[in-house]
Amino acid sequence: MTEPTTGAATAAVFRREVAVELAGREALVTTAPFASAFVVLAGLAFGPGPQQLAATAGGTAWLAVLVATVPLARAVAGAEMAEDSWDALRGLVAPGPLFAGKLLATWAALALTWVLSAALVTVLFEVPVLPGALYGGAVGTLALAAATTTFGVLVASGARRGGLLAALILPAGLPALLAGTQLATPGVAVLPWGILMTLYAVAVLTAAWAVFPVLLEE
Amino acid sequence: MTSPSPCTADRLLGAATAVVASVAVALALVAAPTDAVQGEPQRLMYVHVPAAWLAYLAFAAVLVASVAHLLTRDLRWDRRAQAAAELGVGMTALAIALGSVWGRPVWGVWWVWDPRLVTTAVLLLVYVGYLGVRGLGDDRAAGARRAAAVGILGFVNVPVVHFSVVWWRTLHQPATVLSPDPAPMDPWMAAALGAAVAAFTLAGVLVVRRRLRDLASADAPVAGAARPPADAPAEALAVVPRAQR
Amino acid sequence: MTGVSRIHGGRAVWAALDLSLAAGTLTVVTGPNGSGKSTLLRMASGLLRPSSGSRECAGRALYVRGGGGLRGAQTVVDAVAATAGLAGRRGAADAAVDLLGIRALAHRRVGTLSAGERVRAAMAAAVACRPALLCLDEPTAALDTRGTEDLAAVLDALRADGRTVLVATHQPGALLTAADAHLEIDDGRVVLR
Repeated sequence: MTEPTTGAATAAVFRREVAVELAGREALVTTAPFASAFVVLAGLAFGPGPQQLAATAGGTAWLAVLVATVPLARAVAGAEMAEDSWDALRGLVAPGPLFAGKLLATWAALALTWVLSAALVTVLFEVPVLPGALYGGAVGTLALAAATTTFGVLVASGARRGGLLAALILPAGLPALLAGTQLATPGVAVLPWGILMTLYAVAVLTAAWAVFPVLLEE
Repeated sequence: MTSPSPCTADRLLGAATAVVASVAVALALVAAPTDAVQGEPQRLMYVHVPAAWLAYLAFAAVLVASVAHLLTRDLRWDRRAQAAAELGVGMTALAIALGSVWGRPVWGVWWVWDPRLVTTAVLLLVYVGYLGVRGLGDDRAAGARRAAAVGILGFVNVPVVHFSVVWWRTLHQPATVLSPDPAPMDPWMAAALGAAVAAFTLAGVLVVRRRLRDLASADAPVAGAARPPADAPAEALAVVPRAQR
Repeated sequence: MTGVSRIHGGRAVWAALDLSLAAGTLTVVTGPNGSGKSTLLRMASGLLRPSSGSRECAGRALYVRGGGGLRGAQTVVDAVAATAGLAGRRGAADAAVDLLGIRALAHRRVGTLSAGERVRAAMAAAVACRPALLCLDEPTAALDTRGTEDLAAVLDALRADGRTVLVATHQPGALLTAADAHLEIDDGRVVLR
């Protein structure tokens, strides 16, 4: 019997995630209405003055993404456990590709949430699109996806206190919120915040990769 | 080993703590002069700074114990991590509360968005979450692994959080109210602060030692059952295809 | 598995067990609730780390509880293909669906299947994955007599293919006559074989 390579196994996990999402549209229905409502309500809370809206635009998009990690984390392991498919996944796929495949799927969901939130903010709050903001969106959602994947498995493997997920993910996402907001703000230096976002992503990815196999143990 | 029994060591430690704490109180309340600018509220420093120091020390211990637990899977390291985290959370809350009380008369505000304050508040959140993770399930070993993972992830994140807030502040407001005073500290003030830090550290060690004994006794039944009876015969079973029998 | 034991909540569920399962064998495990059947299967499949002792398995192990293993939102054929894809055997999914005789269910969502149909779908995925060791936890609870006979035939085919099968069940039925060995366990000990 030939074992699939790490790349093939990662692709298989990601492909399975995409197929399940296309079949159930769980992430789309979870986050798209949520992000839309968040941005509209933020406009009502901070507006209607164009200056206040412009000042809060970047932060609004990133807060929406950060809060969306909490319901999205269920797709990592909680939904699998509820449907009794987590054991098969753990048995058939090594921890590395399992982490990578789940990470890619979570990254895709978070990146789409960010694109939707940022697009709505751009239109409704009348702010320009900055190149630095696009970089921040790509790298920041990757870092948040790593934290979401890890904490999603960690909390789902317990029997109680599912609500602890928010208390774990939200403080961990602070650097993404700050750097992402600054990168989306006109007139702010791009380089330091781009470097900070990159360092944050490297730190979170490395730590998540290191502890993930431990969380799979039973 | 000929080390004294745990109770004797605790008594010695308790006595040392009491002596150093008495010296610290005398130095802080009597010997140290009243701050020329801040007045009497400045004396809160002799509790605020040692509490923050002890909290950082405890969180560093959580990291070390978490890594050691994942490497050895020894529950003793997990208990050390838990005891240190509990102390750290208490000290962080104390430091933030005292800092707030100190800041109100001196700066006129309860809170400023200073990197040190924000990072300390995030530390509190992270380690409250860390302690919460221990109650996720009933399996002792799984709880220890999860806690160790959070202990490592949390600590890795803290420097990035700190630098984020430092840069965030410098971009918006050049000077911070907490920037260190360039004037040298009065020697009596420095002595009082040093004694208070020493007293807090000794008391922290004492508290952790006592807490470790409680935690160890809670784990004791598990440790007893962990060794299957040595005389229990291993049941050697081999299943082969029926055709070969 | 050599000298395996497992401590759960301070109680030794298994203490000192040596078990070796040759390739191409079917073993049925029976015993009362809480006797350690699931713990044994989860340790054998590598999901559960023994507190002491060691486990070796020549290849991939798959553990399936009841009719689990598949995502409810997917159709049967997609879910079987997705699971087989994890084992790098996506191409084997179609034949497995035919082998289990569930072609008529192929385009229904897994979540809408009856419990017995789910077991068949799960078995199709297991056959497609072709694991070295297949551990089935209570596959027969939702099956009627005919269903258990069909399951026994499928497991017989897997055994003939050189796979090792370990089944824990309260209602072994036809599985017992097909099995190479029967372990009756109580309180983490084998009392009959």
